[in-house]
Amino acid sequence: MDTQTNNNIHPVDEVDEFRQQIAQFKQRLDQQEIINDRLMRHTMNARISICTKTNITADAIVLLIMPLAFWIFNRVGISWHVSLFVLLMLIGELTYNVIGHRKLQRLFTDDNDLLTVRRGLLKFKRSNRIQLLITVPLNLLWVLAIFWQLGVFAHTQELILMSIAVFIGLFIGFAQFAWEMHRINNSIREIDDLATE
Amino acid sequence: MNPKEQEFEQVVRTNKATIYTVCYMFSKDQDEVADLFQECLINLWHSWPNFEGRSDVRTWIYRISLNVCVSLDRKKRRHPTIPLTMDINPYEEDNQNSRQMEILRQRINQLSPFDRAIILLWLESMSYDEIGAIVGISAKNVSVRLVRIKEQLKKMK
Repeated sequence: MDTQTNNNIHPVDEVDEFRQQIAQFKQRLDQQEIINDRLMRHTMNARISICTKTNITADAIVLLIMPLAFWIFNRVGISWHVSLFVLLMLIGELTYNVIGHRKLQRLFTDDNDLLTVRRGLLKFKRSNRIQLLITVPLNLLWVLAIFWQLGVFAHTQELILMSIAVFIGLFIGFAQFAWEMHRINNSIREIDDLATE
Repeated sequence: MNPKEQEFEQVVRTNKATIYTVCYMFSKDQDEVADLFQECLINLWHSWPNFEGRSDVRTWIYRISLNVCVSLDRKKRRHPTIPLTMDINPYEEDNQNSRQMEILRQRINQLSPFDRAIILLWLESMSYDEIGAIVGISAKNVSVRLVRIKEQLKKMK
């Protein structure tokens, strides 16, 4: 109750006191070693990792899948037109991911202010959304082309099973997309708020 | 160690309290602080060749550290975490100073990431111009926003 009354009379006193606390806290930290030699060695040898392990794994899988897919397509009698289309799509996605993540890394190490980095992150996420909107119909197209070439449309049971698999894949993709959009919208609100003041 | 590495080590050791304070204000426990602290050091190391000394070294450290703490997804552990060498744990210590710091941290954590950054820089006694340069908004914008943040902080009990 006293604190409340005191706050009403001197509105910034408590917040000003926080400054002293921070100064004392930093004095205590200065007496600590904190950075040991092991951490220093690790720092200087570590690769910057804006790119998560998931991204790296996904890119590696795409790289491995490319020759394997081409070989399987050839074995099951898929025409070279469709094979080439799939291959070009995979190469395109891989290149786009690598370039995107390189730009992202530079954003963090180029001594940018906080707002610039947030805007850059937002741009990166927006371009991911565009990438998804382009790749989903293209992926559907090559799946349908493969269905057609394998003669799946003539066998109802196979068609149903493969359609379910495609539907599950699409559902997972869109769920991830919706979650990403939710996060982007929050960032947009925050940046708009800062820019309009 | 070559001269470039020695110079970097000197800079981060001199400013370790600043880096730790930023990480502490953006974390929920000691493990997360260690994780963020390490990520900040790695980003500072990679940014070091681009640092030309045009801005103050403290401003550069704040920029990189805040960018890491505000922008990176906390759930994704990026590197194996190496423990920090410390005798204190501000989250668990039972003395007056630590308790007050913990209250401050909890209140700051309720603010949006940008507001957290602005109030933290103000608490570090930086000028409005310096805060604006780090965050990317005008000094006037900083002053307007600070009034609002302080009011918010006071209302938190």
